[in-house]
Amino acid sequence: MKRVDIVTLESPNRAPLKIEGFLFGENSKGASVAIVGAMSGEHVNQLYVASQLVEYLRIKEEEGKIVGKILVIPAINTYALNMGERHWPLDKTDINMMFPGYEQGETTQRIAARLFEALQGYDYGMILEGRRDQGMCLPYVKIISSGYEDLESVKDLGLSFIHHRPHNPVETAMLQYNWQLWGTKAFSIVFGKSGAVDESTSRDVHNAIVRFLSKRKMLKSPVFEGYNSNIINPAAITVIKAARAGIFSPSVKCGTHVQKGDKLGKVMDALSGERLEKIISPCEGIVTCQYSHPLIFQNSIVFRIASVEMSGQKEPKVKKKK
Amino acid sequence: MNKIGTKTLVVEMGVGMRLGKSNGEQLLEGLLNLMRHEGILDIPKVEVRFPIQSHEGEVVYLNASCPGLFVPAIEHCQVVQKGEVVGHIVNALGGKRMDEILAPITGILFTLRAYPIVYEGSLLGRIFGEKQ
Repeated sequence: MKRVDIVTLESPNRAPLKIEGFLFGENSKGASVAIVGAMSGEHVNQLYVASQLVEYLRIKEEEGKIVGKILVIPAINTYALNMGERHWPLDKTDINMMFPGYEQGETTQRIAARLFEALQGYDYGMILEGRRDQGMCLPYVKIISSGYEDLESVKDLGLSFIHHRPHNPVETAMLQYNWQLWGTKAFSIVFGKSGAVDESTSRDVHNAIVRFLSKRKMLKSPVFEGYNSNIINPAAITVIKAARAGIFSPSVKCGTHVQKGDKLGKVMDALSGERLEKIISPCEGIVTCQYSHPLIFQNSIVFRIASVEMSGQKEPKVKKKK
Repeated sequence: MNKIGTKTLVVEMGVGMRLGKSNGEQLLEGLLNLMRHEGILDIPKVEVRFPIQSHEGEVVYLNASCPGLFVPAIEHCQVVQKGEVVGHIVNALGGKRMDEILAPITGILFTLRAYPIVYEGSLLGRIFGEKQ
Protein backbone atom coordinates (compact mmCIF):
# COMPACT_ATOMS: atom_id res chain seq x y z
CA MET A 1 0.00 0.00 0.00
CA LYS A 2 1.30 3.42 -0.85
CA ARG A 3 -0.08 6.56 0.71
CA VAL A 4 0.00 9.24 -1.98
CA ASP A 5 -0.55 12.98 -2.02
CA ILE A 6 -3.25 13.83 -4.51
CA VAL A 7 -3.74 17.55 -3.83
CA THR A 8 -2.10 19.91 -1.34
CA LEU A 9 -3.42 23.44 -0.99
CA GLU A 10 -1.84 25.86 1.46
CA SER A 11 -4.02 27.76 3.91
CA PRO A 12 -3.55 31.27 5.31
CA ASN A 13 -4.19 30.26 8.89
CA ARG A 14 -4.60 26.51 9.36
CA ALA A 15 -3.06 23.23 8.23
CA PRO A 16 -3.01 22.80 4.45
CA LEU A 17 -5.81 21.01 2.66
CA LYS A 18 -4.39 17.58 1.93
CA ILE A 19 -6.21 15.11 -0.25
CA GLU A 20 -4.58 11.72 0.13
CA GLY A 21 -5.04 8.47 -1.66
CA PHE A 22 -4.18 4.88 -0.87
CA LEU A 23 -2.74 3.01 -3.83
CA PHE A 24 -2.71 -0.77 -4.11
CA GLY A 25 -1.17 -2.86 -6.86
CA GLU A 26 0.61 0.13 -8.36
CA ASN A 27 2.55 -1.90 -10.90
CA SER A 28 -0.22 -4.33 -11.69
CA LYS A 29 -0.94 -5.06 -15.34
CA GLY A 30 -4.56 -5.87 -14.56
CA ALA A 31 -7.67 -3.70 -14.62
CA SER A 32 -7.71 -0.50 -12.57
CA VAL A 33 -10.22 1.43 -10.51
CA ALA A 34 -10.19 4.72 -8.64
CA ILE A 35 -12.65 5.10 -5.79
CA VAL A 36 -13.53 8.62 -4.65
CA GLY A 37 -15.04 9.19 -1.20
CA ALA A 38 -16.50 12.20 0.52
CA MET A 39 -16.67 15.30 -1.71
CA SER A 40 -19.15 16.85 0.69
CA GLY A 41 -18.61 17.49 4.39
CA GLU A 42 -21.88 15.73 5.13
CA HIS A 43 -20.91 12.47 3.47
CA VAL A 44 -19.47 10.86 6.57
CA ASN A 45 -20.84 7.42 5.72
CA GLN A 46 -19.01 7.59 2.40
CA LEU A 47 -15.79 8.49 4.22
CA TYR A 48 -16.33 5.56 6.60
CA VAL A 49 -16.91 3.02 3.82
CA ALA A 50 -13.83 4.22 1.95
CA SER A 51 -11.61 4.07 5.02
CA GLN A 52 -12.83 0.58 5.93
CA LEU A 53 -12.13 -0.47 2.35
CA VAL A 54 -8.55 0.81 2.69
CA GLU A 55 -8.02 -1.36 5.76
CA TYR A 56 -9.56 -4.38 4.02
CA LEU A 57 -7.39 -3.93 0.94
CA ARG A 58 -4.28 -3.47 3.06
CA ILE A 59 -4.87 -6.92 4.53
CA LYS A 60 -5.65 -8.44 1.14
CA GLU A 61 -2.48 -6.97 -0.30
CA GLU A 62 -0.43 -8.63 2.43
CA GLU A 63 -2.13 -11.90 1.47
CA GLY A 64 -1.16 -11.33 -2.16
CA LYS A 65 -4.77 -11.05 -3.32
CA ILE A 66 -4.58 -7.71 -5.15
CA VAL A 67 -4.24 -8.30 -8.91
CA GLY A 68 -5.36 -4.95 -10.25
CA LYS A 69 -4.52 -1.32 -9.57
CA ILE A 70 -6.79 0.24 -6.97
CA LEU A 71 -6.72 3.84 -5.75
CA VAL A 72 -8.94 4.85 -2.85
CA ILE A 73 -9.31 8.54 -1.97
CA PRO A 74 -11.45 8.53 1.18
CA ALA A 75 -11.94 12.28 1.57
CA ILE A 76 -11.81 15.26 -0.75
CA ASN A 77 -13.32 18.10 1.26
CA THR A 78 -11.54 17.54 4.55
CA TYR A 79 -12.11 21.11 5.73
CA ALA A 80 -15.87 20.69 5.34
CA LEU A 81 -15.82 17.29 7.08
CA ASN A 82 -13.98 18.79 10.03
CA MET A 83 -16.36 21.72 10.28
CA GLY A 84 -19.60 19.82 9.64
CA GLU A 85 -20.35 21.88 6.57
CA ARG A 86 -21.62 20.62 3.25
CA HIS A 87 -19.52 22.62 0.78
CA TRP A 88 -16.10 24.29 0.67
CA PRO A 89 -16.37 26.41 3.83
CA LEU A 90 -14.66 29.53 2.50
CA ASP A 91 -17.01 30.32 -0.37
CA LYS A 92 -19.72 27.63 -0.05
CA THR A 93 -19.05 26.24 -3.50
CA ASP A 94 -19.57 22.58 -4.31
CA ILE A 95 -16.40 20.84 -5.46
CA ASN A 96 -18.58 18.33 -7.32
CA MET A 97 -19.89 21.15 -9.51
CA MET A 98 -16.44 22.27 -10.70
CA PHE A 99 -15.33 19.45 -12.97
CA PRO A 100 -13.30 18.97 -15.06
CA GLY A 101 -11.78 21.87 -13.12
CA TYR A 102 -9.69 24.83 -14.18
CA GLU A 103 -6.13 25.28 -12.95
CA GLN A 104 -6.24 29.08 -13.39
CA GLY A 105 -9.66 29.46 -11.81
CA GLU A 106 -11.05 29.86 -8.33
CA THR A 107 -10.07 27.65 -5.39
CA THR A 108 -12.50 24.78 -5.85
CA GLN A 109 -11.97 24.84 -9.62
CA ARG A 110 -8.26 24.29 -8.94
CA ILE A 111 -8.95 21.51 -6.45
CA ALA A 112 -11.22 19.83 -9.00
CA ALA A 113 -8.61 20.23 -11.76
CA ARG A 114 -5.82 18.62 -9.73
CA LEU A 115 -8.05 15.82 -8.50
CA PHE A 116 -9.34 15.15 -12.02
CA GLU A 117 -5.79 14.94 -13.34
CA ALA A 118 -4.95 12.32 -10.69
CA LEU A 119 -8.02 10.28 -11.69
CA GLN A 120 -7.13 9.99 -15.36
CA GLY A 121 -6.30 6.67 -16.93
CA TYR A 122 -8.30 4.34 -14.71
CA ASP A 123 -10.51 1.73 -16.34
CA TYR A 124 -13.28 2.17 -13.78
CA GLY A 125 -14.26 5.10 -11.60
CA MET A 126 -16.41 4.70 -8.54
CA ILE A 127 -17.82 7.70 -6.67
CA LEU A 128 -19.28 7.19 -3.20
CA GLU A 129 -22.10 9.69 -2.87
CA GLY A 130 -24.88 10.65 -0.56
CA ARG A 131 -28.19 12.13 -1.58
CA ARG A 132 -28.03 15.82 -2.46
CA ASP A 133 -31.44 16.40 -0.89
CA GLN A 134 -32.57 15.73 2.70
CA GLY A 135 -33.19 12.10 2.01
CA MET A 136 -31.71 8.71 2.74
CA CYS A 137 -31.85 5.74 0.48
CA LEU A 138 -31.18 2.11 -0.19
CA PRO A 139 -27.72 1.78 -1.69
CA TYR A 140 -28.13 2.07 -5.45
CA VAL A 141 -26.02 2.71 -8.50
CA LYS A 142 -26.48 6.01 -10.28
CA ILE A 143 -25.17 5.92 -13.80
CA ILE A 144 -25.62 8.88 -16.08
CA SER A 145 -26.40 8.34 -19.72
CA SER A 146 -23.62 10.26 -21.45
CA GLY A 147 -23.05 7.89 -24.34
CA TYR A 148 -19.85 6.63 -22.68
CA GLU A 149 -21.33 4.78 -19.70
CA ASP A 150 -20.90 1.04 -19.14
CA LEU A 151 -24.07 -0.49 -17.79
CA GLU A 152 -22.83 -4.07 -17.88
CA SER A 153 -19.92 -3.61 -15.50
CA VAL A 154 -21.99 -2.02 -12.74
CA LYS A 155 -24.17 -5.13 -12.55
CA ASP A 156 -21.16 -6.80 -10.93
CA LEU A 157 -21.77 -4.73 -7.81
CA GLY A 158 -24.85 -6.84 -7.20
CA LEU A 159 -26.89 -3.98 -5.76
CA SER A 160 -30.66 -4.19 -6.05
CA PHE A 161 -31.13 -1.08 -8.21
CA ILE A 162 -29.27 0.62 -10.99
CA HIS A 163 -30.71 4.04 -11.77
CA HIS A 164 -29.79 4.69 -15.37
CA ARG A 165 -30.96 8.06 -16.62
CA PRO A 166 -30.17 10.97 -18.90
CA HIS A 167 -27.98 13.65 -17.38
CA ASN A 168 -29.45 17.00 -16.47
CA PRO A 169 -27.55 20.19 -17.41
CA VAL A 170 -25.95 20.72 -13.99
CA GLU A 171 -24.47 17.23 -14.06
CA THR A 172 -22.20 18.24 -16.93
CA ALA A 173 -20.10 20.00 -14.27
CA MET A 174 -19.96 16.93 -12.02
CA LEU A 175 -17.27 14.29 -11.67
CA GLN A 176 -19.16 11.29 -13.01
CA TYR A 177 -20.14 12.91 -16.31
CA ASN A 178 -16.70 14.34 -17.00
CA TRP A 179 -14.91 11.19 -15.93
CA GLN A 180 -17.01 9.19 -18.43
CA LEU A 181 -16.21 11.68 -21.19
CA TRP A 182 -12.52 11.29 -20.47
CA GLY A 183 -12.57 7.52 -20.98
CA THR A 184 -13.22 6.04 -17.53
CA LYS A 185 -16.24 3.83 -16.95
CA ALA A 186 -17.50 5.94 -14.09
CA PHE A 187 -20.55 5.48 -11.89
CA SER A 188 -21.76 6.44 -8.42
CA ILE A 189 -22.94 4.37 -5.49
CA VAL A 190 -25.49 6.48 -3.62
CA PHE A 191 -26.29 5.49 -0.08
CA GLY A 192 -26.85 6.55 3.48
CA LYS A 193 -28.04 9.59 5.36
CA SER A 194 -26.12 12.86 5.53
CA GLY A 195 -24.01 13.27 8.62
CA ALA A 196 -24.54 9.74 9.92
CA VAL A 197 -22.92 6.31 9.69
CA ASP A 198 -25.10 3.24 9.35
CA GLU A 199 -23.24 -0.03 9.88
CA SER A 200 -25.67 -2.24 8.01
CA THR A 201 -25.70 -0.02 4.92
CA SER A 202 -21.93 0.33 5.12
CA ARG A 203 -21.51 -3.46 5.10
CA ASP A 204 -23.80 -3.80 2.09
CA VAL A 205 -21.83 -1.20 0.14
CA HIS A 206 -18.49 -2.68 1.20
CA ASN A 207 -19.60 -6.12 0.05
CA ALA A 208 -20.81 -4.67 -3.25
CA ILE A 209 -17.44 -2.99 -3.87
CA VAL A 210 -15.52 -6.17 -3.01
CA ARG A 211 -17.81 -8.14 -5.31
CA PHE A 212 -17.09 -5.70 -8.13
CA LEU A 213 -13.33 -5.83 -7.57
CA SER A 214 -13.41 -9.61 -7.59
CA LYS A 215 -15.62 -9.98 -10.68
CA ARG A 216 -13.64 -7.36 -12.56
CA LYS A 217 -10.44 -9.25 -11.82
CA MET A 218 -8.78 -6.75 -9.51
CA LEU A 219 -9.08 -8.86 -6.39
CA LYS A 220 -8.51 -12.59 -6.06
CA SER A 221 -11.23 -13.34 -3.58
CA PRO A 222 -14.31 -15.55 -3.80
CA VAL A 223 -17.51 -13.63 -3.21
CA PHE A 224 -21.15 -14.39 -2.72
CA GLU A 225 -23.41 -13.32 -5.55
CA GLY A 226 -25.43 -10.18 -5.00
CA TYR A 227 -28.73 -9.12 -6.45
CA ASN A 228 -29.62 -9.55 -10.08
CA SER A 229 -29.83 -5.77 -10.40
CA ASN A 230 -32.99 -4.06 -11.51
CA ILE A 231 -32.24 -1.35 -14.04
CA ILE A 232 -34.73 1.42 -13.53
CA ASN A 233 -35.33 4.67 -15.31
CA PRO A 234 -37.01 7.82 -13.99
CA ALA A 235 -40.42 6.66 -15.26
CA ALA A 236 -40.30 3.76 -12.81
CA ILE A 237 -39.96 5.99 -9.76
CA THR A 238 -43.07 7.35 -8.08
CA VAL A 239 -42.34 10.52 -6.14
CA ILE A 240 -44.55 11.27 -3.16
CA LYS A 241 -44.58 14.75 -1.66
CA ALA A 242 -45.76 15.95 1.70
CA ALA A 243 -48.99 17.89 1.37
CA ARG A 244 -48.44 19.62 4.69
CA ALA A 245 -45.52 20.95 6.70
CA GLY A 246 -44.84 19.71 10.19
CA ILE A 247 -43.18 16.84 12.02
CA PHE A 248 -42.73 13.82 9.78
CA SER A 249 -42.99 10.30 11.18
CA PRO A 250 -42.34 7.42 8.77
CA SER A 251 -43.98 4.01 9.18
CA VAL A 252 -41.74 2.21 6.71
CA LYS A 253 -38.02 2.01 6.02
CA CYS A 254 -36.05 2.05 2.83
CA GLY A 255 -36.24 -1.36 1.26
CA THR A 256 -39.81 -2.08 2.40
CA HIS A 257 -42.01 -3.64 -0.26
CA VAL A 258 -45.31 -1.80 -0.09
CA GLN A 259 -48.70 -2.36 -1.67
CA LYS A 260 -50.97 0.30 -3.06
CA GLY A 261 -52.90 1.80 -0.15
CA ASP A 262 -50.34 0.93 2.56
CA LYS A 263 -49.62 3.59 5.15
CA LEU A 264 -46.15 5.05 4.65
CA GLY A 265 -46.11 7.69 7.36
CA LYS A 266 -47.75 10.80 8.73
CA VAL A 267 -47.19 14.51 9.20
CA MET A 268 -48.21 16.13 12.48
CA ASP A 269 -48.65 19.77 13.37
CA ALA A 270 -45.35 20.89 14.91
CA LEU A 271 -47.10 22.87 17.66
CA SER A 272 -50.41 21.19 18.38
CA GLY A 273 -49.50 17.58 17.52
CA GLU A 274 -52.66 17.23 15.39
CA ARG A 275 -52.28 14.72 12.57
CA LEU A 276 -52.32 16.75 9.37
CA GLU A 277 -51.68 14.11 6.78
CA LYS A 278 -51.61 10.35 6.47
CA ILE A 279 -49.25 9.38 3.65
CA ILE A 280 -50.55 6.48 1.61
CA SER A 281 -48.71 4.55 -1.09
CA PRO A 282 -50.22 5.21 -4.53
CA CYS A 283 -48.64 2.09 -6.01
CA GLU A 284 -46.96 -1.20 -5.32
CA GLY A 285 -43.20 -1.14 -5.19
CA ILE A 286 -40.11 -0.82 -3.06
CA VAL A 287 -39.36 2.26 -0.99
CA THR A 288 -35.96 3.32 -2.27
CA CYS A 289 -35.63 6.74 -0.62
CA GLN A 290 -37.27 8.63 2.20
CA TYR A 291 -37.04 12.03 3.81
CA SER A 292 -34.57 11.80 6.63
CA HIS A 293 -35.31 14.73 8.91
CA PRO A 294 -38.08 15.09 11.47
CA LEU A 295 -39.16 18.56 10.28
CA ILE A 296 -40.63 18.67 6.81
CA PHE A 297 -41.80 21.44 4.49
CA GLN A 298 -44.90 21.24 2.36
CA ASN A 299 -44.09 19.73 -1.06
CA SER A 300 -40.84 18.16 0.14
CA ILE A 301 -40.26 14.75 -1.40
CA VAL A 302 -41.08 12.35 1.38
CA PHE A 303 -40.78 8.98 -0.39
CA ARG A 304 -39.59 7.52 -3.67
CA ILE A 305 -40.99 4.15 -4.67
CA ALA A 306 -39.55 2.02 -7.45
CA SER A 307 -42.27 0.15 -9.22
CA VAL A 308 -41.57 -3.02 -11.17
CA GLU A 309 -44.57 -2.53 -13.46
CA MET A 310 -43.49 0.93 -14.49
CA SER A 311 -39.85 -0.09 -14.90
CA GLY A 312 -40.72 -2.20 -17.89
CA GLN A 313 -39.05 -5.25 -16.40
CA LYS A 314 -40.31 -8.37 -18.08
CA GLU A 315 -41.83 -11.06 -15.91
CA PRO A 316 -40.03 -14.40 -16.21
CA LYS A 317 -41.82 -16.82 -18.55
CA VAL A 318 -43.33 -19.74 -16.74
CA LYS A 319 -43.63 -23.04 -18.65
CA LYS A 320 -47.17 -24.35 -18.55
CA LYS A 321 -47.60 -28.02 -17.82
CA LYS A 322 -49.05 -29.98 -20.74
CA MET B 1 -33.41 28.67 -17.77
CA ASN B 2 -32.26 29.94 -21.16
CA LYS B 3 -31.99 26.37 -22.33
CA ILE B 4 -35.62 25.66 -21.52
CA GLY B 5 -36.75 28.79 -23.32
CA THR B 6 -37.08 31.39 -20.59
CA LYS B 7 -35.00 34.46 -21.37
CA THR B 8 -32.84 34.90 -18.31
CA LEU B 9 -30.16 37.27 -17.14
CA VAL B 10 -28.12 37.54 -13.95
CA VAL B 11 -27.47 40.79 -12.12
CA GLU B 12 -24.55 41.01 -9.73
CA MET B 13 -24.11 44.02 -7.54
CA GLY B 14 -23.11 45.19 -4.13
CA VAL B 15 -21.36 43.30 -1.35
CA GLY B 16 -22.50 39.98 0.02
CA MET B 17 -24.47 39.98 3.26
CA ARG B 18 -24.99 43.76 3.10
CA LEU B 19 -27.94 45.93 2.11
CA GLY B 20 -26.96 48.82 -0.16
CA LYS B 21 -29.71 51.42 -0.58
CA SER B 22 -28.37 53.06 -3.72
CA ASN B 23 -27.62 49.70 -5.38
CA GLY B 24 -31.06 48.48 -4.47
CA GLU B 25 -32.76 51.56 -5.88
CA GLN B 26 -30.71 51.38 -9.08
CA LEU B 27 -31.68 47.73 -9.52
CA LEU B 28 -35.35 48.44 -8.83
CA GLU B 29 -35.40 51.22 -11.41
CA GLY B 30 -33.74 48.90 -13.89
CA LEU B 31 -36.25 46.11 -13.28
CA LEU B 32 -39.20 48.46 -13.68
CA ASN B 33 -37.72 49.88 -16.88
CA LEU B 34 -37.13 46.39 -18.27
CA MET B 35 -40.69 45.35 -17.51
CA ARG B 36 -41.99 48.52 -19.18
CA HIS B 37 -39.83 47.80 -22.23
CA GLU B 38 -41.10 44.21 -22.43
CA GLY B 39 -44.72 45.34 -22.18
CA ILE B 40 -45.27 43.80 -18.76
CA LEU B 41 -45.89 47.11 -16.98
CA ASP B 42 -47.69 50.13 -18.37
CA ILE B 43 -45.72 52.84 -16.58
CA PRO B 44 -43.84 55.97 -17.62
CA LYS B 45 -40.30 55.48 -18.85
CA VAL B 46 -37.80 55.24 -16.00
CA GLU B 47 -34.50 57.04 -16.46
CA VAL B 48 -31.63 54.60 -16.19
CA ARG B 49 -27.88 54.93 -16.76
CA PHE B 50 -26.51 53.98 -20.17
CA PRO B 51 -24.55 50.75 -19.67
CA ILE B 52 -21.06 49.87 -20.81
CA GLN B 53 -21.50 46.78 -22.95
CA SER B 54 -18.99 43.98 -23.06
CA HIS B 55 -19.19 42.96 -26.73
CA GLU B 56 -15.87 44.25 -27.96
CA GLY B 57 -13.90 44.29 -24.77
CA GLU B 58 -12.79 41.48 -22.53
CA VAL B 59 -13.04 40.67 -18.86
CA VAL B 60 -9.94 39.43 -17.12
CA TYR B 61 -10.00 37.68 -13.77
CA LEU B 62 -7.52 38.30 -10.99
CA ASN B 63 -7.06 35.18 -8.86
CA ALA B 64 -4.91 34.80 -5.76
CA SER B 65 -1.67 32.93 -6.39
CA CYS B 66 -1.25 32.07 -2.71
CA PRO B 67 -3.18 32.10 0.59
CA GLY B 68 -3.20 35.08 2.95
CA LEU B 69 -4.97 38.37 3.52
CA PHE B 70 -5.83 40.45 0.48
CA VAL B 71 -5.16 44.17 0.92
CA PRO B 72 -6.52 46.24 -1.98
CA ALA B 73 -4.47 49.22 -3.15
CA ILE B 74 -7.22 50.99 -5.09
CA GLU B 75 -10.94 51.58 -4.79
CA HIS B 76 -13.66 49.65 -6.55
CA CYS B 77 -14.78 50.94 -10.00
CA GLN B 78 -11.53 52.82 -10.65
CA VAL B 79 -9.84 52.87 -14.01
CA VAL B 80 -6.58 50.94 -13.77
CA GLN B 81 -3.62 51.01 -16.15
CA LYS B 82 -1.85 47.89 -17.30
CA GLY B 83 0.82 47.07 -14.72
CA GLU B 84 -0.75 49.16 -11.96
CA VAL B 85 -0.83 47.65 -8.47
CA VAL B 86 -4.33 46.43 -7.60
CA GLY B 87 -3.39 45.08 -4.20
CA HIS B 88 -1.21 42.75 -2.16
CA ILE B 89 -1.50 39.41 -0.41
CA VAL B 90 0.14 39.36 2.98
CA ASN B 91 0.84 36.46 5.30
CA ALA B 92 -2.05 36.11 7.74
CA LEU B 93 0.18 35.41 10.73
CA GLY B 94 3.45 37.25 10.08
CA GLY B 95 2.27 40.07 7.84
CA LYS B 96 4.96 39.47 5.23
CA ARG B 97 4.02 40.52 1.71
CA MET B 98 3.57 37.32 -0.29
CA ASP B 99 2.41 38.63 -3.66
CA GLU B 100 1.71 41.84 -5.52
CA ILE B 101 -1.27 41.82 -7.86
CA LEU B 102 -0.80 43.84 -11.02
CA ALA B 103 -3.47 44.74 -13.55
CA PRO B 104 -2.82 42.67 -16.71
CA ILE B 105 -4.80 45.08 -18.88
CA THR B 106 -6.00 48.68 -18.80
CA GLY B 107 -9.66 48.99 -17.93
CA ILE B 108 -12.25 49.40 -15.20
CA LEU B 109 -11.89 47.40 -12.01
CA PHE B 110 -15.58 46.55 -11.83
CA THR B 111 -15.21 43.79 -9.23
CA LEU B 112 -13.04 44.01 -6.14
CA ARG B 113 -12.89 41.45 -3.36
CA ALA B 114 -14.30 42.63 -0.04
CA TYR B 115 -13.60 39.58 2.15
CA PRO B 116 -9.90 39.63 2.97
CA ILE B 117 -9.08 35.98 3.66
CA VAL B 118 -7.98 34.29 0.46
CA TYR B 119 -6.86 30.86 -0.63
CA GLU B 120 -4.96 30.07 -3.77
CA GLY B 121 -7.40 30.75 -6.58
CA SER B 122 -9.73 33.09 -4.67
CA LEU B 123 -11.15 35.75 -6.94
CA LEU B 124 -9.63 39.14 -6.12
CA GLY B 125 -11.10 41.27 -8.86
CA ARG B 126 -12.25 41.60 -12.43
CA ILE B 127 -11.21 44.20 -14.99
CA PHE B 128 -13.15 45.08 -18.09
CA GLY B 129 -10.93 46.48 -20.78
CA GLU B 130 -10.11 46.39 -24.45
CA LYS B 131 -9.61 43.03 -26.10
CA GLN B 132 -5.89 42.22 -26.16
